[in-house]
Amino acid sequence: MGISEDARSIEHELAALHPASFGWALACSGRDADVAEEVLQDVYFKVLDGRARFDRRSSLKTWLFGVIRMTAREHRRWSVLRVLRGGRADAEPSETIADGGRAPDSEAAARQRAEHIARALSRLAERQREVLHLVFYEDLSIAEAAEVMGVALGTARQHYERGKHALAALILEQGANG
Amino acid sequence: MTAPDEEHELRQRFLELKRHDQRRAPDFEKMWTARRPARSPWRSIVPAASLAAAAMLMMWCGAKTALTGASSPEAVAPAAAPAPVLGTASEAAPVAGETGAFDPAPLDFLLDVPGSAPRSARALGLDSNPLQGW
Repeated sequence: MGISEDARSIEHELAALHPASFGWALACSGRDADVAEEVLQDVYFKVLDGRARFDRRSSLKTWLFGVIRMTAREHRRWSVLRVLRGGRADAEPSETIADGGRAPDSEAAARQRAEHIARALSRLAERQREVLHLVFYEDLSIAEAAEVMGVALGTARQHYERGKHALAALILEQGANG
Repeated sequence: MTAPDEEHELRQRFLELKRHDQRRAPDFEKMWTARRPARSPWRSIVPAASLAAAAMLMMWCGAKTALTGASSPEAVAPAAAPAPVLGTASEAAPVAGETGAFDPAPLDFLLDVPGSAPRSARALGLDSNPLQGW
């Protein structure tokens, strides 16, 4: 397979993974859609100019998610500098702004339920949130999630179990509070 | 809630979140074909400035060490001062540079043993008996 053909096949795979990648970028950026888009754009730049190279030692999805996670961390570090320079603080997630229009009732209810789980997730520890997102949202196995997170399988499994119970409790608590 | 129920409930919730997120995912083509913006100068200025500062600090420290080393009598004429004989170090006459180097701390007097010469005197070579006190 030639280089251009290989690049085109990766482009096709990235396009197929794009919605999932955006979801993971959201999870890594405190659910701020603008930051998530910036992170994902930077990831694509990295792939295009060869700074991030897929060496086929893992699946494309786990590799890509690892790159997204690292890039989101870099963005968080640089956002501190941006604040010092008087720029945007990335403190207020743009989630509510993006969906500002009037929605039908069912859509509004679905959005509300999505906001509930997002809020409950935000109350979990970072590692728990990451592993639950990767397993339940991205349909990865715990082993694949461990690979993305750069932790041992046992550690990921522990975060998964604890996070699952904590999240279920938080959802019940939110349900009880209305 | 039992474990399978719990997992099922969580899967349902995450599915709703996923659908919600996918509706606002940006267009892949637009992102893939976007041109890289000019790299922020801060990204190169900050590491370069940090490196320059570290290099200057190292040079300053090196220069200071070289200066103090050159001014000490050992560095200028190491053979001029005789090596102290074992056990009679305190009897040896103090070298000009050494007496100047003694800098007592404010609470050093607490370490003085009653009945022996004060530490400051010992450091200056005035304590004649090496077995007394320390």
